[in-house]
Amino acid sequence: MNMMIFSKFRFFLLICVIGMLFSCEKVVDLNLNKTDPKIVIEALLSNELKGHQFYISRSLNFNENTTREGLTGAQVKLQDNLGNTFNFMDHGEGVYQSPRMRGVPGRTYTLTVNFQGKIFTAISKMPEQVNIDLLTQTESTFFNETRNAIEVTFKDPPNQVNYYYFRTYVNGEPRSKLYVESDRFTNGKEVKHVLYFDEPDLIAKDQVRVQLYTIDATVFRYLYTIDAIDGSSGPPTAPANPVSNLSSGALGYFSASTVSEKFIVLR
Amino acid sequence: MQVIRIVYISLLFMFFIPLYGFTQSMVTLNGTVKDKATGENLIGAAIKILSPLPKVALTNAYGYYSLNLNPGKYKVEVTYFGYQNWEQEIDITGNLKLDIELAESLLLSEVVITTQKKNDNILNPQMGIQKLSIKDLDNVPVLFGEKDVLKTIQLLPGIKSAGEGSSGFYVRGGAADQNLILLDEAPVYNASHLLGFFSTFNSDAIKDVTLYKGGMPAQYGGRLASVLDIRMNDGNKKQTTVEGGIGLIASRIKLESPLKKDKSSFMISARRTYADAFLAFSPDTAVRGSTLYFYDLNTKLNFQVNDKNTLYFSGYFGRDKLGIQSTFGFNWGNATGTLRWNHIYNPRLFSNTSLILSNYDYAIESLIQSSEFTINSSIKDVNLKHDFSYSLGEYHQLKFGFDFNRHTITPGDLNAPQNSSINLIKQEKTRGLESAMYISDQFQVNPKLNLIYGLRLSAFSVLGGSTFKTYNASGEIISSNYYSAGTIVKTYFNIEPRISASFQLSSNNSLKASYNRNVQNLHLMSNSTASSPSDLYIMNSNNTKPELADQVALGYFQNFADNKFEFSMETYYKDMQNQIEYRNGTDLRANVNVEADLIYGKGRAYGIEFQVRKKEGRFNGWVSYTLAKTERQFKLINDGNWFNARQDKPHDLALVGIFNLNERWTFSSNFVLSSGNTVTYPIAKYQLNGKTVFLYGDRNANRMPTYHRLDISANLNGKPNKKYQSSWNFGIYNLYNRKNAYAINFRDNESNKTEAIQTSLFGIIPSITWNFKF
Repeated sequence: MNMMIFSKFRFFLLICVIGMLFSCEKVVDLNLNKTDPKIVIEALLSNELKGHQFYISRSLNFNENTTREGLTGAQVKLQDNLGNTFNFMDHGEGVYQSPRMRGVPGRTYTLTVNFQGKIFTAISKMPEQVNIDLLTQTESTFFNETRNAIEVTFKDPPNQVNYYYFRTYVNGEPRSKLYVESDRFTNGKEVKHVLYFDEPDLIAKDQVRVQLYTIDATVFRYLYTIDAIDGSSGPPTAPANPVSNLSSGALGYFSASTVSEKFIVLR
Repeated sequence: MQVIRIVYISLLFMFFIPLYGFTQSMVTLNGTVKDKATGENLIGAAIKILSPLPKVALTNAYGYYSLNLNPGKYKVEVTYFGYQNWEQEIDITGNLKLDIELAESLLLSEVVITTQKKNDNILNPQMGIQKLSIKDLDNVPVLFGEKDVLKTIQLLPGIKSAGEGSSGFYVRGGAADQNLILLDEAPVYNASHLLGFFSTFNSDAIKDVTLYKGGMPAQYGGRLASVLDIRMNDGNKKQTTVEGGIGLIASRIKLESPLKKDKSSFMISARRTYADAFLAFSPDTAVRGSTLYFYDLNTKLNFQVNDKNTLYFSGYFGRDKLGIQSTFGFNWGNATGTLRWNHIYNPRLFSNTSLILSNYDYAIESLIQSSEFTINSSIKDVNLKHDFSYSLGEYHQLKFGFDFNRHTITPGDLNAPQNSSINLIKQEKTRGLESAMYISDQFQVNPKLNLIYGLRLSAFSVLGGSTFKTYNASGEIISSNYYSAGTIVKTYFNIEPRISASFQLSSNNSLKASYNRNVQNLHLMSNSTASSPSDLYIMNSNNTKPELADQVALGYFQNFADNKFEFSMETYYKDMQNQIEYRNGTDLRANVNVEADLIYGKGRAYGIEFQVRKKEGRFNGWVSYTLAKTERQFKLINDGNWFNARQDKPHDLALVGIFNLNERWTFSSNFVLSSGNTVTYPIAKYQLNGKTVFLYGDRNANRMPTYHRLDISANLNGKPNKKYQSSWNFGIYNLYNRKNAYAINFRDNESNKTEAIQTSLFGIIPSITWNFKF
């Protein structure tokens, strides 16, 4: 289902509120609690043949500059259910790279990170490949504002549960907006999923690259929880921390995913 | 077997009590109390006999009273707030039917010196009760000048607002869904319009509002925190009247007329907002094609068949519609209908039988090409009630009866056309039967001690016709069984004792105490920060158990200065079991396994409430202050530690002042000051693929800034005119334009710093309303 409808709906209500009821925003100073830094692992393994890069960083206090504070000196190891082991190289600044390899759909992978003697593990099974069939440029007009969006067409495999995670790049620059979806409403259908973009808006001649990653249920729930707090699939939910598949209180996730990508140049 | 024994014992109890204390020599004084001008039944009017021993009977919801006396000469007094007292000396030799009409007291007439002391609040054994007079409603300033029962009750002690401009409310630490809201006995499942900014109750159509926040009488059940019993006008029995008003956002009109003078009448009242009228001026075609309005229609018909039988029919229909042309539509609303039959078996035994229908539904419609779908969801009740009241001996008023309510919930089917990329999702309906029997006795033990004690036996049967699953601790399905329609999957029985006592220390002060257990079988699930019309109702099942609450309360009541001032203080402790929350990250969209994501825990709430009130005189009003705490405990939340419930607001102060300058001008104002809502703030942040993700601290460990606001209003009555009366109401909401926090969100600015952004809703808002009556 195009869940953007809910988001639009919320926006509409907001408009009503703003228009009718004069709402206003301001920056306020809050005295927020702090916590000891936690390890953050972002590990996305795909079925491309390449050196896969995983990122290890630490969490930041609220008043620190938002950036990725990489952690070096971790030992990162990946193992599949056939016993193949891949050791990652520490490239500095929290970037760890595997030897040239390819993830295989159907295999179960175990990630082990040893950082200063503390062990963090996670398991993920790579789902079946799903390909993007088509990218098309669409427009969404909302309260006199027309914005470009990209419609992704793909065929959802029937008789199984699928979860998707989209990443987008505009003119080579990655966009941070999070898109996750399940096939709960579209199982077995030809899905036309519209990706809306935050600022800066897409304009003519922009080159847009879309990646479709298949993810498992645990990773979906992790990313969905983050997304739902932003209110992108209905009224914003009460803030809550997502449940990670990583052990020992690490933040982030490990996902073994197939990937499919396509380009489009905007008219 | 245990169940049968309970039923058996209670039946014995029911039949045994009437025999005890029965004396043949007594006679009964009974009748109805009505408004002289309109013929409306007056609810809760006091019929008093002062000597030899003081005795009081209150009229019931149909204006009926009954009082047993030894034959003799009595001075009978009838009082009702806002009305002139009625007094007469009567020689009662046999049963006597005495119908009384009371005249409304003139606002500024000199206070008549009466020997009667207005100390009903001291004498009444019922505690935890709040009554709102329609006059309060007329005078208290509100947002957009739209009079609102649910907003005005939030100014009373122990009742807290669910948010800025919201008609949602919390009673004594209970959640918003733990309030039973009844409109002419029919449960109203969503009492708000336009996302909570207005309530579904059009004040034109309302006669009486009573809220029980503790010591619930045994005839009520089904919710943990409170009962809000709203009664509609019957309709003028004397003459035809039309009244209405034109306001900033809505217009109202009401027609009342006798069908047969003094016997039968009807009332019809309608309200519609016209916010959408402004949309038509927009240059944007999408805006022009949008819909945004709500309406309410209240109607009532009463028909007195003869002296012993009266029929009432009440109906309510309301709906909200929102939509954008060719994008989406969203509408929701309640419909209720109540058919009642009052029957007087004999002067001592009064009965009412009600057949009640209630339906709440919503529909969401996506009109976006190739993603068309509709979701329809509803909750439906068919309810039969039979209530009796019986005056037993000199000192007992018995109430007993039974109640069957069949609930059907349609959680929301997802329908899509063939060519849509969306699949049909069927969600099974769930069905349940709530049944209860109760008995209670109001017993005047001696002139100082009054008791109301009773018992409610309630049962909730989970009915078949759908699939029932069991889940393990992590929410995975272990088993799945289909139960055919008509079978009973499981029945939950509960015994709910209710007791309330008052001890009069002197003629102007009393102590009261109460204990009650309440059971809740329907639960409203919401995981969002704001309530939405699409929040999901679920009922008990094989997994979800009834919520239970035990409350003890103690109160002290004192009147000062010849009963001009009333002071009350009540303190309570409430223990709650089987409370429900969602797991983190639950996807609520058409989720067929929503129960897999429910977790169960407990709650506790305690507090102390103060109120000083001046009810009469040119200057009147009240001050109320509540100090309270409400917490929850769930194994999976905050490591199993107690945490603040969403509705926790430790401090809550309200001041209401009304000043009648002269016959034409009335000024009023209210001021509220309360702790901010509980929230969960981040304690750290991290980056995932360039996106800033927050790590949140303990649930509800933080609090938004303190909330305060001052509103004022003035009411100008038109010059007296033979043909019609009119009045103007001017109001200013949030006079000093306080920017109260509605939400606080976090985002990064250009220099990579994270900022806290506070959203405020209503700044200073003036309003104007013109009312008329002819």
